[in-house]
Amino acid sequence: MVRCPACRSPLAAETLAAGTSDCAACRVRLEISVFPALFRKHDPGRNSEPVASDQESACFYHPGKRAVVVCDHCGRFLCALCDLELNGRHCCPPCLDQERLEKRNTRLESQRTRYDRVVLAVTIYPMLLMFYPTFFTAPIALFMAIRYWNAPASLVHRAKIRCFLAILISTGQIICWVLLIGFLVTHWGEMFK
Amino acid sequence: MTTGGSREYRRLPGRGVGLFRTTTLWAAEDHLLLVDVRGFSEFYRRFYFGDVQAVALCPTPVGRVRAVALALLGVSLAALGWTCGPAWKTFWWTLAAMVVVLLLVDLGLGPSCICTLQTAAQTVDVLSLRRLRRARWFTVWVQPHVELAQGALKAAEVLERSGETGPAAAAPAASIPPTLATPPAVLASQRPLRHESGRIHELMCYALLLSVATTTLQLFVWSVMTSVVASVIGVGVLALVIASVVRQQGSDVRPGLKRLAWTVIAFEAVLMVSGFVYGAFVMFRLTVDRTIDPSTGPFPFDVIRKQPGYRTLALVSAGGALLLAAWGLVLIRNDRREKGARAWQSPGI
Repeated sequence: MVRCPACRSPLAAETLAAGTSDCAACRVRLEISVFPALFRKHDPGRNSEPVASDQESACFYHPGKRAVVVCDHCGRFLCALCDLELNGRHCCPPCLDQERLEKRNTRLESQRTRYDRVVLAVTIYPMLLMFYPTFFTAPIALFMAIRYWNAPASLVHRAKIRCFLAILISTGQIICWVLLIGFLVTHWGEMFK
Repeated sequence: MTTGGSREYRRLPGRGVGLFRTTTLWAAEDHLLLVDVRGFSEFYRRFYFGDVQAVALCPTPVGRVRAVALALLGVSLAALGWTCGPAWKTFWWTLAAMVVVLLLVDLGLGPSCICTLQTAAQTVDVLSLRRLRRARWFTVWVQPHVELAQGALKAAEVLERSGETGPAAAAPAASIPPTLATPPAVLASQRPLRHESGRIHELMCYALLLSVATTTLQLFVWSVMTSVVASVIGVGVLALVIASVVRQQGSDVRPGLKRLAWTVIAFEAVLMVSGFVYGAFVMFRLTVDRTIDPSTGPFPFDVIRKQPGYRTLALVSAGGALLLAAWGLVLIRNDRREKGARAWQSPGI
């Protein structure tokens, strides 16, 4: 069922076929492209068959069911129920879960933490508020930038420009503090004359 | 097409920007990736070309309302600058110029729209495609990719297959009522549209006309009575416009009237903000100049009334309200005429 983007009312077949027409409910102008997947019937799912003889291999997870495929990761025999296909490879549910947890397959990821953004924020925000907090935040930012240098970046932005900038700026902040402290130490006596 | 980022993904035009949130759309070989950046996390949604069922888009009045609001803000700021001394003039005119630049950028990006991408598992409002031009580009771009994965679908096939699969794929045409004289067309909807006569919108238009009269009257005759009447009518307009917006939710009110109610809200909001800013500025300036003494003297209605900025704001308010009221009344008259004609043509009459 395709719904009107404006009022969420279901659209008639005539509206879908026309491509460009008005929504019958809210009367806004619609431009719709529909594709064969809209009419695709859902796969009811495969049933695993029972083992017929002793010469047939059985599923590792369901000993009474006939194995139809081997897991590409762990090599275990799998029945039709346990067989999960991903990117043309077959694997069992625990292997898929392991792959997702270890983030080995980017296509299973639905969220990532952007450590490079965190590091840049720790570097820049204290500097914008006032310079003094950078006495504490600059070393933290430098440590974080080095610590998370190899952490997975964004799926779409692979460049490490933010980490690089954070290292550059936090190093600059540390140098400024060292110079300032050095100046204060050497000129301490003159300042109170 | 914009390129950048990783090797696997190519960035598609458009960027949806919200409060601490950015949305972009990326294309891979076999799927689209919607990247939603919220704070320090990225959330991904994948739409495989083989699974895309439909792409739907419809224009919205948001862009126009925003442009009108920006234009009014720009005019108000320029008018404010016009009434000030050279130093403040530069400040207000710089602000006005910035608003005009924003307005030009907004106009350059074109009209706004809603674009949804549907698969069997999810229907997503793509925030990065909130401009009609980009959304149309995307529709043209995505079509061959999806057709390569699924094959093409002709209009006749859509009708034929809708009949086969029934309401699961599309609402049947038979459920469309033959006439709009009755509460209009609701297609097997889970949330049927409520009938709304549009009477409250009409009252809002008349209240706007009254506000035009009182605002104009105040320019020539200033008394406590006219001031009280104008305030009461102003509050009435606000109450009616809020009531209109509430009543039109989920109703069959004509989209033009819905837009009108939102435009009136935006207009009143801009006027209130401009009035507040200008009032604060005038009070500040008159206090600094020692023209008035807020601690001892009475409130200087007469002094404020004679300020050119006040007159400009009053004229903008009256002109805008007149235009909006006229727009609304014309829409209501056309709607009634159209409904009357349909009721006459329907077989039941």
